[in-house]
Amino acid sequence: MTLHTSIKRNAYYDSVTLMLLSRELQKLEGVEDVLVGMGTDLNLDLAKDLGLASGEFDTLTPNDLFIAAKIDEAQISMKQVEDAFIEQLNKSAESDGDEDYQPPSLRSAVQALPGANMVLVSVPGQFAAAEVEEALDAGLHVMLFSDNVSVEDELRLKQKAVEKGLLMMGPDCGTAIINGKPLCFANAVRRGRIGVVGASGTGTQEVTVQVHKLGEGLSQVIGTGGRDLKEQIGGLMMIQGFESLIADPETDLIVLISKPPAPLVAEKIYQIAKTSPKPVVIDFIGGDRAAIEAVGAIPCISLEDAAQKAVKALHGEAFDDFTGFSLPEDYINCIVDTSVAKLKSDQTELRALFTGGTLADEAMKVLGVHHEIYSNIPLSPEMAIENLPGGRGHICLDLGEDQFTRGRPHPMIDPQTRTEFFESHVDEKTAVILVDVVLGFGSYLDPAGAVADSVREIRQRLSKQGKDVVVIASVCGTDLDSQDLNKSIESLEAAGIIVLPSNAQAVRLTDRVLQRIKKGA
Amino acid sequence: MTYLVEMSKKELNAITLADDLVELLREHPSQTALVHSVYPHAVNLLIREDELITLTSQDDIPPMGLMVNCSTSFTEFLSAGDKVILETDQLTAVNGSFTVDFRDAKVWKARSLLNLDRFSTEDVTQNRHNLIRWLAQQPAEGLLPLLPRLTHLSMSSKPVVDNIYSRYIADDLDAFTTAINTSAWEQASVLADRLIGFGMGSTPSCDDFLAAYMIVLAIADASYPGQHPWVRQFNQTIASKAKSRTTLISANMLRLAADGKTSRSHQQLIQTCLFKNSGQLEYSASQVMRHGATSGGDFLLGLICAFEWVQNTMTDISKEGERAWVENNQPQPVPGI
Amino acid sequence: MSLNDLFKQELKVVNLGLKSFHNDLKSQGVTVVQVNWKPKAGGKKNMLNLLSKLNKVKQS
Repeated sequence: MTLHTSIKRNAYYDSVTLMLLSRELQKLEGVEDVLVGMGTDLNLDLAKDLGLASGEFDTLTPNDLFIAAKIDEAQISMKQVEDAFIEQLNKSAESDGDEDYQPPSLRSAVQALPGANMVLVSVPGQFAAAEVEEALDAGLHVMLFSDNVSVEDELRLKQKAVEKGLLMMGPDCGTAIINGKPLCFANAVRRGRIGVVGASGTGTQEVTVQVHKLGEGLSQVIGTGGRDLKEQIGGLMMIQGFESLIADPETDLIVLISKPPAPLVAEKIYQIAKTSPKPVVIDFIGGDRAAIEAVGAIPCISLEDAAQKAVKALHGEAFDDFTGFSLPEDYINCIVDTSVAKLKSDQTELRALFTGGTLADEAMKVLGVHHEIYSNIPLSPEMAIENLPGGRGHICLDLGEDQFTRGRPHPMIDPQTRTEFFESHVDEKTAVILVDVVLGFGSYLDPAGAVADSVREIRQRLSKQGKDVVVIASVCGTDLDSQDLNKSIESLEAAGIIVLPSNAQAVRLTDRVLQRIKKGA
Repeated sequence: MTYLVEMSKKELNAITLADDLVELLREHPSQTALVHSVYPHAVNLLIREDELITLTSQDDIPPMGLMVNCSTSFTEFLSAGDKVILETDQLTAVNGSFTVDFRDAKVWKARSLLNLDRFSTEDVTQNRHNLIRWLAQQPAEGLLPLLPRLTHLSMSSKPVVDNIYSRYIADDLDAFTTAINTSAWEQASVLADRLIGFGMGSTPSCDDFLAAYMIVLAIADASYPGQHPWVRQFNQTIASKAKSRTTLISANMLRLAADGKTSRSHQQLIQTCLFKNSGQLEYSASQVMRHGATSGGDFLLGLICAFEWVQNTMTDISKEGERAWVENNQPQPVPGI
Repeated sequence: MSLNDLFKQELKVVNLGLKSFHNDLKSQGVTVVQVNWKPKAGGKKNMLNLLSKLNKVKQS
């Protein structure tokens, strides 16, 4: 028999936990006797009287937890005793932290929750399809956040869903607001009369945020997943969502958001729009304007434009494409002037680092007109980032793409990836940095703070070479989001970042600055 | 997308603040506190070296405490060592993970306002008896195996499941309670030395036991001013010994108990023990057992023992009062002219 | 229960996967149950297919 003492400094547990722990440890094979307690003088006296004290006792203070054990080393090691201690602690912690019952399967969950109507699935892709199938069979609507689900599975599941009149939002669906409740990545927005069906997560977020800013609200925000409007899937969820909003008495106007659909799919959607008694705003980012207008729907030139037109149409007001800025032209020119004045002649490059895929896409579409932008989501294959000549040129990255999220969290959740890119990709030739800051449920607790910190570091780094840099951002968020829109903006501005009220405007300002730099060169 | 997730910033509201905490915040409008320990439903913040402020998300509030509307476990967003800034109307985590707004909070009095003088000895005796019977049915954890011995009552023939701690301390506890009951204050104070810091838990069992005594004594002292001049010193002695002899959490609890302060559920229980209507007794007792990281059973045991002393005191005082009344009302001899 | 029916009901969610989604919903007062999810059949894909075929047979 040997004596061992394990010490946990400044460890505080309630007596019920410690008592359970004692019991469990006492039961272990090879443990003859064990005492667990705080290192107070009297407890140590007891341990000594029981013959359990060892040399380490001298180091104990009343705020330390000790496990004093007499063990048969042939049967068990002190390390095993400690492991058992931690295992029991974790068991207690789990059951304490969750007074709520956690059923072991979808089936038991449905039994435990009468009236369950939605299943949110974010388990690894390879297992997700089976769970979704079970949910649909049970008559429940589904939001499928997981990706890595095959196209075949997606089609099969969506067909089943449509047959039963159920939602199957996804795969890779990150944003929805059903009955006013944000699901996964979504912003806190007011309830209202505008309904949205979106195939793009951050695109949907930006539209809802802009609608909220304009004083209107959302009835339902339905996600479809990124592949829905491809030919193989045929727009099944977009159509189902669209039709349900037409039938929804709480919705007066509908907004559809997606990257350009496959032509056959687009056609199906236009036909529904044609017969819709409610106004339809269609933002098929970079889509066919004429075709949209031909069916009496309202085309858009940006996500912000979609929101503005939706609100104006809802009010019965006339509207035009919103191509400018919220601030007066003079003011914008002033910003452009002072920004460019900060730069040295060899600073010419753009570094656009996005966490939201659709926002990155919007940037590419505008900036790609006048500039050659290399990207991991290039407008054409020759502009793929791998082709960047000698690493010199304009770069716009969607950091949420798979290649950057393998084995690490999405940049909306954890700013670390973007922080690293700020360090590695911004150098003395950088003129402009463009970013998105996405708030809301699911997002990091202070995305603006993280960006502000990175920018301060960059300025410090560049100042050593006598240089500065222009930083432009937009915040996709509302006053109701927990990260607080105003505080986020303040945080960014305090780091000398120019904050525009929408992604579209931030991109436009970036374009102006880059064009001015080009002219000056 | 892959899977590590952070919580978004929590904006909590304080539902209730203890009045001693409010006073502290007024005296020191802005200070930094360190998270000392985190439980699923409670957090202790350390200020001024050895004092603790407690946040709780359950429906009970301790002295120097605040009740907040947090629906998740505190362990999910707080760890020991985190810093918070305390101001008069809010609390902010330095790492931005949460804030607590105090502005709409109610204020609760940490010091028990009970006056023993208002209650009858018979009620106290009856309620104490009922509490003993109820406690005898609870799982015999901590010091509870000693219930029969300390109350000198024989219980049912259920085999007593005891534990190493209760066995070890039985004689010392017995000696302590006897000393108090026979008014041997200095001896009791010395005997407390054999109890402070002993037992299971971050607030060791004996400390909970002693805390119950200290609060009851403080109530008695306030109810009968001047009758028990030794109480203050007795309580202070235990509180100051506790500083070096037990955990910080426990020493903090004893310091507050010395001042007659305890959590709302504990106060309610003490009040219920004094009232005629004992229908509330079981509910109040079970609230004490349920809440907090301390072992409610040990506190209840201390309460039961302390109430034996209260019974004696109330009887003595009423007897003395009778005597004084009789003396005051005797017809005085008329001096002869 | 169709989509338009869902719009009239109180949302009651079963969450399989990331705990944070459950927590966010809970913080908004939505009734939500967290499933203590583990891959069925210890994660073996073939077993999964078999199991799900079995379920279908049971249902028919």
